[in-house]
Amino acid sequence: MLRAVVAGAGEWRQRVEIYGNVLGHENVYLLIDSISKRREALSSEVRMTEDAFAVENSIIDTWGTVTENLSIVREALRHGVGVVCHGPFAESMEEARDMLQGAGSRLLVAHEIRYSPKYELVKDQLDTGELGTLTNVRLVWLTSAEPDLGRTWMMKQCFEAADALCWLGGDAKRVMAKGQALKGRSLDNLFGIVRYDNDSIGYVEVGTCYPVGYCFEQMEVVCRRGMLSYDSDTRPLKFSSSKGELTREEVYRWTPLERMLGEYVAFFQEGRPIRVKSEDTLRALELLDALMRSAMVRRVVEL
Amino acid sequence: MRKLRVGAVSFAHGHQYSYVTASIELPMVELVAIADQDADRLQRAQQLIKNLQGRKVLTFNDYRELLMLETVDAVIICSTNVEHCEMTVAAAEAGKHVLCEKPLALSLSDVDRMMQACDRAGVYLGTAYPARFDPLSQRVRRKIEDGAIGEVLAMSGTNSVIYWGSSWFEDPEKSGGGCLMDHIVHILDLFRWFSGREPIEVYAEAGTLMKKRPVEDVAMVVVTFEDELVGAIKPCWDRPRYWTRWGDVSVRILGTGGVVEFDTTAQYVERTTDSVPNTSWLSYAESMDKGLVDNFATSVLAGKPPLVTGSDGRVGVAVTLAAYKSAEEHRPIVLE
Repeated sequence: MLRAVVAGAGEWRQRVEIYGNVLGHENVYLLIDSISKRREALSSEVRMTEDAFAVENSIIDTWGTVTENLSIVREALRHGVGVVCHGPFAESMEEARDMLQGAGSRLLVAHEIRYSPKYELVKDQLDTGELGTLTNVRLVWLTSAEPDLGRTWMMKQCFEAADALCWLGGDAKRVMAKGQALKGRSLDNLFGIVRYDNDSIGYVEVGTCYPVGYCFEQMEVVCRRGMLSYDSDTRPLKFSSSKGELTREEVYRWTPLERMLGEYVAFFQEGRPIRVKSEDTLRALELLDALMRSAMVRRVVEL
Repeated sequence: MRKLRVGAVSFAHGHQYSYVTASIELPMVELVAIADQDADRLQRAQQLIKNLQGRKVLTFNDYRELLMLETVDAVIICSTNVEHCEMTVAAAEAGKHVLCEKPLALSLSDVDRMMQACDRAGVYLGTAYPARFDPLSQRVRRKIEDGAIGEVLAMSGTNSVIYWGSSWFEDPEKSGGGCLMDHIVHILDLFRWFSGREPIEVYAEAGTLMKKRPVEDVAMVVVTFEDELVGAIKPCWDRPRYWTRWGDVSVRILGTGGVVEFDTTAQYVERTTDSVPNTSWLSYAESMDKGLVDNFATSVLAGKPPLVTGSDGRVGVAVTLAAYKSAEEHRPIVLE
């Protein structure tokens, strides 16, 4: 029986729940080193371990800071254990490339947007060619992050946005980005312009510095014969609380995270195919790396 | 009531029809004459005027004849972009106040000539940035002034439209460029107005991607303002022919204490029919063009400059020219 060890603070409750539903709750462990502050909040049904590699026949699922992810991934690969990593995990592109190539199929990087029905729909529409040549892609993802999750969430969001830009637009040739650290000392607001090899233009705006409760997502894909657009203000489930808070949700039977982790488990258990290749991960990491470097050096970065 | 007697110079830019309508509707404005070298445009404008006010006004093929009228206090210029400078200088020398369509000119030296001519003549120069006069923009400005979102930290906006322009918009000799020249300035001006900060650096990517034409039609611009404030602008001619509306003017402002966002084209009733286009948005927003003309006329009559001056127009031209340079050289351009 396959087991899962959940590490890192990102969406940890959901990940424990999802692995529990797929593998059985008795087969899911929480690595308490990285999220010990939250252990009291857990129900007693969740097993805990202080050593991720003491659990036999397991995969490790990590969603932490780049440094935490790197540590887990490196150790997992050294132990020959399968690992699912949410977001970036290496200090440099060379390191990421080496690790991905060396790990083969034992390292799966989460590309959650590729399991999102609306992004899948847009990609399918683009692939039909009915809308003509792509001219520009615009992605805006703005939210608030808990103070201790800010950087982790920002990097994960930027990675997913970079992946979406690559998936929808193709290979990039240069980027220019502006970054801001508005709520703390680390990057929490990014504006990036991407020029693709095919000459179309991409734009990404990712922010985790927005007011508590704020959440906005916008996608525009413009082609010569039409455009596709999505705006989170159109989400169909609207809830207003007596405190004046307003939320809008899209509702799934299986969330993109569930669909993705389900596919990854099926891969580890049964060898079923995965829709994302390591080349896709590398491409997204390269774009992310270029965006981050450009924001840091305040110059154009050529890819 | 004392009225500002206005002449409309050129209908090459379609906004003039809206300014003329506003001039007829506003009680402190009297539309005296119109001029256009194009006979068809002149006839169309005259018909509009007759429909609105029941009588025609004086017409001229040569705008210089209109400038000779002593009964004209001010002119609204909506010519091709390349003609703005010559017409503004001539109007100023004839002692007329000027409200000039954006962009003010195709070079900073031309803008300076226009401003100097107006200064010398003691007349006011206003730049037609109507977005400041949209009730939504004005409400947002008041909210920011009242501290509703704290200090402004970051801004983002879009001005993407269906391409409706006359053919001269695609002629770089007359327009000076495509969507960058046409549509950076509105969002940029709102950013300056909301934040109170001036732009210091510009990066742009641009291309002719929507259809074959001699000017760019897709672009993205990131502007760095004083105090490390960042503002992103999407100025594009990229909306599909059957979009729900003509375009958008959307802005989001993040502050230390909140975020405010609006789209001036999003006060609408949706209309759906059996024909194509089957869905469209019918705007019930008040005319920002009317607000622009109202402010220009009220200010001039009161002996003070309009809210949007030649200096504001100059900043728009400077940023636009920097965006072209950036797009060509693939590097951020620091404004002088």
